[in-house]
Amino acid sequence: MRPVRAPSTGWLALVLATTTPAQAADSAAAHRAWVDYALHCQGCHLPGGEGMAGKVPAMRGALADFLKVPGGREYLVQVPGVATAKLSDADVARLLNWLVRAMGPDLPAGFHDYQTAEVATLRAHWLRSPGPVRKDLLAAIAALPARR
Amino acid sequence: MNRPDMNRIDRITEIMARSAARNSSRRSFFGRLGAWLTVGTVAPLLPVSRAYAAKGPQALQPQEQGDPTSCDYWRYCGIDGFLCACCGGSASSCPPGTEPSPITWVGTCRNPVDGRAYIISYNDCCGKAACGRCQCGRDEGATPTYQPSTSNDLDWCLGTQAGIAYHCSTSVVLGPAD
Repeated sequence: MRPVRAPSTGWLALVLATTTPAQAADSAAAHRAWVDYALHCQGCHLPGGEGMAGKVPAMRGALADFLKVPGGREYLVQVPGVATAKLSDADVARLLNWLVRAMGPDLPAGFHDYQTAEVATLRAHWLRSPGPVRKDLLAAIAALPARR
Repeated sequence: MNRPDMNRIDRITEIMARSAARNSSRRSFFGRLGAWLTVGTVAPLLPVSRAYAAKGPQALQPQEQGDPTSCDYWRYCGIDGFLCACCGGSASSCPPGTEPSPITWVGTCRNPVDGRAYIISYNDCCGKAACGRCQCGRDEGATPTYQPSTSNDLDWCLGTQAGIAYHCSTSVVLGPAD
């Protein structure tokens, strides 16, 4: 056979590679967050976060709105179901960062991910009576301009 | 930059490419490509495909061994109740005339076939009197009721429209946990 110098196929390897290491890490973190959601949240909030009217608050299409009003970011950590979950502070941060994106709606401009230290500080002061806080936050969310 | 891993990928890709070039012609390649495109276009029109799509994405289901009517069955590691597989249903479906509770407790069990941990949703079936067959209480990972999200002592039928009458429990595999 006539010897032929094959062209470099490095580009092909790049094309064939489906994920970069960063994407793989993101994917692994997302899977871990989903597992934590399944084990610690969805028993009541249901797999899609739809909740049950009058019994379990819906997160689907609503969760990220809490990030748009003062106190909402803190509330998502300090609500008892999150604050007292059998998860580490790092696990809670990872779960919330995944959940606010998964449930939507759009994140507010300038949103930055929850950090482990922030979660630890907030959990130390979790809400024993979340009802009134939640009511005020929902009123503030309802008053947001140009809500879709 | 000389990267050994890229060189190895280069060599492997070259071998595969040369092998493919020796063993196939462009004409046959385009013929097969056309066939696959046709199949890919027509397959979604088949009723089986549409029925699958209507149910939404399905969780990866593991290979399983064992008897779903036995308390030793791998999925039941955290269960506490009557096995629906003994009550006219199955390990993952409610008997006729009962309604699955949407709210539930969720845990993990290790599948002995592949050694992997899977997330199991223990959904109660509700609306009829207690089945009374195949009582099974293994309780692995279950917590007291003051930690309700992982307690199997609660009557999860509270979440149904059918009322709080508990009939039996299912163990639905949601997906791999690791």
